[in-house]
Amino acid sequence: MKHSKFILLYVFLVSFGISLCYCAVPSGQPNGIDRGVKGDSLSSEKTLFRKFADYQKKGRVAISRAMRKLRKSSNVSVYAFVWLFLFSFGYGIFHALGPGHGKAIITFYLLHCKASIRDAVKLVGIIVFTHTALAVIFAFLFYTILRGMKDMAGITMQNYFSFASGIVVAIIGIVLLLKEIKNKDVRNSIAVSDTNIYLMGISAGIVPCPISLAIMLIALSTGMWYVGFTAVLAISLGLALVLFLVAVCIEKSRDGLLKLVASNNRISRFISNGLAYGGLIGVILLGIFLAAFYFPVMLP
Amino acid sequence: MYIRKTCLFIVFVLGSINLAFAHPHVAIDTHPVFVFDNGYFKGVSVTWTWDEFFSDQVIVDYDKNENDKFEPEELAKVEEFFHNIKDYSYFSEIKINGQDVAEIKIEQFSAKINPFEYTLTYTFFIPVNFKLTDGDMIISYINNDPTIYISFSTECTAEGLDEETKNVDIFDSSVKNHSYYGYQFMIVAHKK
Repeated sequence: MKHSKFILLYVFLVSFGISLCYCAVPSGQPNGIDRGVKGDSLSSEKTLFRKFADYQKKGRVAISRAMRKLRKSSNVSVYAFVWLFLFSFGYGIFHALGPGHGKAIITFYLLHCKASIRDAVKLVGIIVFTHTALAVIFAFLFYTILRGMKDMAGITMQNYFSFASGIVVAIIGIVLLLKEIKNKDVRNSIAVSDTNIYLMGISAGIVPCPISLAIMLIALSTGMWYVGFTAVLAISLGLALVLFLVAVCIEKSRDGLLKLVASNNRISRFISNGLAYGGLIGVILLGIFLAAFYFPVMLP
Repeated sequence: MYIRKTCLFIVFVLGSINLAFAHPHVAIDTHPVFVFDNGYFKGVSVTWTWDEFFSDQVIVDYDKNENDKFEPEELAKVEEFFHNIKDYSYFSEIKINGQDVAEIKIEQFSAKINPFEYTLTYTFFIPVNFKLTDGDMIISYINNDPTIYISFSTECTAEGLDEETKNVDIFDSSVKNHSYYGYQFMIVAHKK
């Protein structure tokens, strides 16, 4: 099969994602009235969400140690730099494989339209660049003019930016859907416009990467901005690689599906219409979900 | 061919969409102890150990003389920094018989650097002062961040929750998952 490598990688990603979502059923007793059993302990019953969080924590610790080693050694060795880069790159890949809305936005958007590999690269590039660049910019701001604000700023920033991201994504989805309804004759071959890619990419990546922000803050505080920048760059490359794979797999599988039914005009039209509308409805619902999730925590 | 391609398409799409949750960026290992005295539930004594990555940020910012200890003025700044999460109720909830304790306040705050692990440990006390009545009192302490920015872990077992009990019988205790990354610690107490 022509795209078997992509598919194998993606199957790994998908099984990981599905197992996370369906096996890791969160439990909780909000009313505190479940008496449980004397000696109940969940230390041996970690959900997959928790296991994933534990692995992410280990990745952060590895980056932190590599940075500290560089910070505390009198001579900065190339070897230590390479380790930091590799740890950070691996972390970026793992980080992107975990839960997050970026993959869902890419999926819905690319279901809606016919994109080339170049478009996929552009979309992923914009998402990752926005996600990382904003973190670096905020790190510089917190280190300089907004010094008093940096403590636990990550959590507040995540809430506000995620809310904003949700709103913008939903609005873009609605605008595209309205356009789509107007131009119903061209639905079979919706081309990706650069403006839409930029809008979608920026709105999906607008939440500054908290890890990059923290890395840059530590690096700036210790006067080793280039160490932080190396780590952040490597994380971004790892993120971009995974998101690019997602984009390519979605695009190829969408293409494959449409080619399969190309001989039957009615079915072909039905499926392409379904994807075009379904993708946009997905974008809108995802935007609403994000905004609704973060809205209550922003209230005083 | 049709079935295989269609299935792959569905799996790709569902897989990507299913991952639309946020993920935590900071980890805290928590260990609460329920404190009872003289027929009163006094409160919860909490120990939080932050992950190495987050600890590094705080240590770099506040241990200015790099002696792996917080001097009183450094400690005051760490405490001030800690109170930034007041708006999030210190990611804590206390329930007595299912009812929320009005407001989470912090007393006896202390912070130390664990130089070998390079982590940061906070200890603090959340006062409650609730007079125990006759019958079972189900008391729970929950550590959870609804924004999914922080994940909690615990090595704490149910037996370790009731270390400080005077004039109180503990019938039951448990540690359970709460939401995606939180924990609920529960104890059933009875006045002697």
